[in-house]
Amino acid sequence: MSKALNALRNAGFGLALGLAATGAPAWSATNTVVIYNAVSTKLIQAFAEEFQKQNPGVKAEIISGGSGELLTRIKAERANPRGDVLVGPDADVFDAEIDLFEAYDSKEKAGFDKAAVHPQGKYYGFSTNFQAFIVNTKMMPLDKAPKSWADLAKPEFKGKILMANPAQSGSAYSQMHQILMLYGWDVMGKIIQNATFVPSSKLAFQNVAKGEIAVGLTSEFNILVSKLEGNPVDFVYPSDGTALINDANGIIKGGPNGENARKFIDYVSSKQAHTILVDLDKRRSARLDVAPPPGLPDAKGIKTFAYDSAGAAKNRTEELEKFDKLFSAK
Amino acid sequence: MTDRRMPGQALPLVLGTCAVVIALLFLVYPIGSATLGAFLRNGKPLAIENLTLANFERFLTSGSYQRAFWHSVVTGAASTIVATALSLPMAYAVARAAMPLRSLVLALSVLPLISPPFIGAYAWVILLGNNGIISNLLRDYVGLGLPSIYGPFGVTVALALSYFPYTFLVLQGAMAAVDTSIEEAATIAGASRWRVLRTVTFPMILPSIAAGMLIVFIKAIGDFGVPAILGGEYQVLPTLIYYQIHGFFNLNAAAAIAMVNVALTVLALGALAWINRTRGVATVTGTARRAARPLPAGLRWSAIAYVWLVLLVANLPQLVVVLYSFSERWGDTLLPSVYGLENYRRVMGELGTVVWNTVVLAGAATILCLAFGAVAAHATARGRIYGRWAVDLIIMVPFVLPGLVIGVAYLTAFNEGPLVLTGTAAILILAYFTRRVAFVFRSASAAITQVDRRLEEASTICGADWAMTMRRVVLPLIAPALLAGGILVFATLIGEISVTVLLYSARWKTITIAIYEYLLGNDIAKASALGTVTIVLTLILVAGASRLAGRNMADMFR
Repeated sequence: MSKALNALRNAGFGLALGLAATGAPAWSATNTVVIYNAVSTKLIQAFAEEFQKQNPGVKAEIISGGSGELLTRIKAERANPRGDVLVGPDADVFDAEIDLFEAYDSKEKAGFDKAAVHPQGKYYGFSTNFQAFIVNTKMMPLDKAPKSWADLAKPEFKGKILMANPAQSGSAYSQMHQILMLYGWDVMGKIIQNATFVPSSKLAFQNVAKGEIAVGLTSEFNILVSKLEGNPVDFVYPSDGTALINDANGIIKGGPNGENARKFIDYVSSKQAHTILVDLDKRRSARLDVAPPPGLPDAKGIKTFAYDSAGAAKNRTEELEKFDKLFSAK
Repeated sequence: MTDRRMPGQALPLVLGTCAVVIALLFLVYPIGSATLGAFLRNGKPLAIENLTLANFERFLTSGSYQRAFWHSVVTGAASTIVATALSLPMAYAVARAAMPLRSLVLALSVLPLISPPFIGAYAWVILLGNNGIISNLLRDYVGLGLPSIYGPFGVTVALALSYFPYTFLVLQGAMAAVDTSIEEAATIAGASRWRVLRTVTFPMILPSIAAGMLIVFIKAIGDFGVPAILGGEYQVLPTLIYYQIHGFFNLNAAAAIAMVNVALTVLALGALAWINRTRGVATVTGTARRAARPLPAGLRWSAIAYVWLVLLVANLPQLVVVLYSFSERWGDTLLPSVYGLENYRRVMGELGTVVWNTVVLAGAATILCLAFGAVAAHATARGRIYGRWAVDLIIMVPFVLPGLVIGVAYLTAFNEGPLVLTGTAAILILAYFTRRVAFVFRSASAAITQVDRRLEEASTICGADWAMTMRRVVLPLIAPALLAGGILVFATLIGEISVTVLLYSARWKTITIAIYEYLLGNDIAKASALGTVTIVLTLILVAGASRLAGRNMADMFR
């Protein structure tokens, strides 16, 4: 018999042994907290280190993914949950499947604005972000850029605006919902004619930074980070008002390490953790006592209005169907 | 070792039983339940009274669903044709033109398949976008304005360049396996080189062409990254699936859209079966390998130039990833303004672990695919079992379904009950196997249909038992095809993300998960550093495998 066949047979045998050895499930380990994570590596690792320091003996295990994938995972594992906490998706994501999460009365609750915490404590606010326009100043000087949501409907901006598809991106849906709250379908219909809609929300700022298109709709911290990277981009906060969109953290119902999950939510909602969030990710904190990162304008100078999340949750399907109709007729 | 062989027919029975058990437990059961999910409303449990076609209704009512369907068909078919046109001459050149650096050529041709998730497609924007590197160079120095890459044209070209390796590798394997004495006979009989190619070589490799085209078509209609980034508003079925999962967390609706992909594939499979039935010919009648008639020098060098040109263009995104990995600042300039190793320093800490995990998981899954795929291909091709089409379907459906659907199927099937696998390496290996066994099965099937079954009969008549016939006759003849399939499985598993993200545990974090984590923070440079490691790793492994095997493929299994 040839060497190749022998090698193959040995490999197969070694593999069987290896599989037997690694067959033991990871969670049978000891004192852990399993974090389903939707934020950046550097942020979650900083949290994990600090949390482990404050809770000696507890090991933080991190499972990362997009918020859609993580929620899908939690739903599929519902009968026998494997994760303890979910970190970082939009509050809308929690609201959409609120039964998957556990109520908890954290000692940090007082540090937050009431709107940033779920009424039963099923999630706690994390970062909180204004939706704004990213403008490539090399392609379009700031004084020529759109100033308001209403401006986006003007014919001169046809083909110059990039927006994620509201049906495919949570933040794009909230942008559309804001426009609908302010002006209704008349203006939104014109924006659908003017803008290009892409499936991925990351493209809405990446392609503006790279000079592919002049204006994009995105969260303010994406603009700041892009600017700090040296791209010729700047902020425009719509003068007709913008709403704060929260992302959040919560406890997965029935997770294997409930006690540690509660400890982690306490930690990740603390002033210390939120200071790390602002430093590393350049986002505004949902806590009242943590200042925004340098480079983002003071919230007082930005015209805002209250985002109607209840209306967003209720009308979402209907609004997306209407969008789909106008978008297909384009 | 012939004295230790199993008596009589025991071995095929044992192997066959193993294959059936594996197929039922890890293919039919999870995938069957996922498929049924397409006929349930979101959140409803599986029960007869809950079955509905509601998830399919949108294909009748929504304009964007109908358009996405046709867009998928058009870009899928167009990119398959372009990919085949690119790879036919390439495969012929590599198989016949005494290609220098052949192992490197094979390794580079696999690379487009493993472009790291999302970074790969975004690289086309950096290259050919309105403000891309190549677009700017052409505009400034040649005065040539490129057409916009956003839309069906860009999607088709990028898909063809990403997936042509499938047709190329399958064809290359098939051409290497063709008995050159038939071509020689035609030449002696006075046929020109072109006529030999058209009337002798081409008909012999037709089943392999069809098999390769099928894989490209399936991958192209299932690709999300390219249309998401280059399509602009040109939506296809996978972007709709993504929106059901990420926008609505509605896996049932996503499964329904995926079923439309399955239906398209079943049509393509039917066409393939028809081609094999009407045009299939047994061509391999012996193991005599003679060198093919060498190409004349001029033709040979143009063939070599062509191969390298295609490889260069198809690997441009990989080059961008490498470039990005060394950039510490890449703002509004054509090329990065600050270079350095900082990105690598930052990913160093976890590198060893994630690379090792990836190699172990992908390697184990590859071995499983080779064993199962070869047995299943032989059994179905030789018609010893009923319902050949059912085997085909069982293996092809998971290949077509999006990774997220398979991941959920595995999670729900093996998270509770008698067989709990979540959190182990086994669940990843088995899910990988489920998604990739089609590669080995298809390329082995295509190879076996070329082998004249009288060879096996002759072996049996001479007194060899089943194991001996397999080892000495069948395996050596289909070894190139198996190897090509194995390389594809392994290389594409190194970059697997969609199943991994649902099934991995902290202990079994892979290199693509590490890449994904950086992308979550929009840290493209560090993601690129890991992407570059993936690229180099694949290059080394594939070049090594094809060097090992390429020297004398037929001798490997003697």
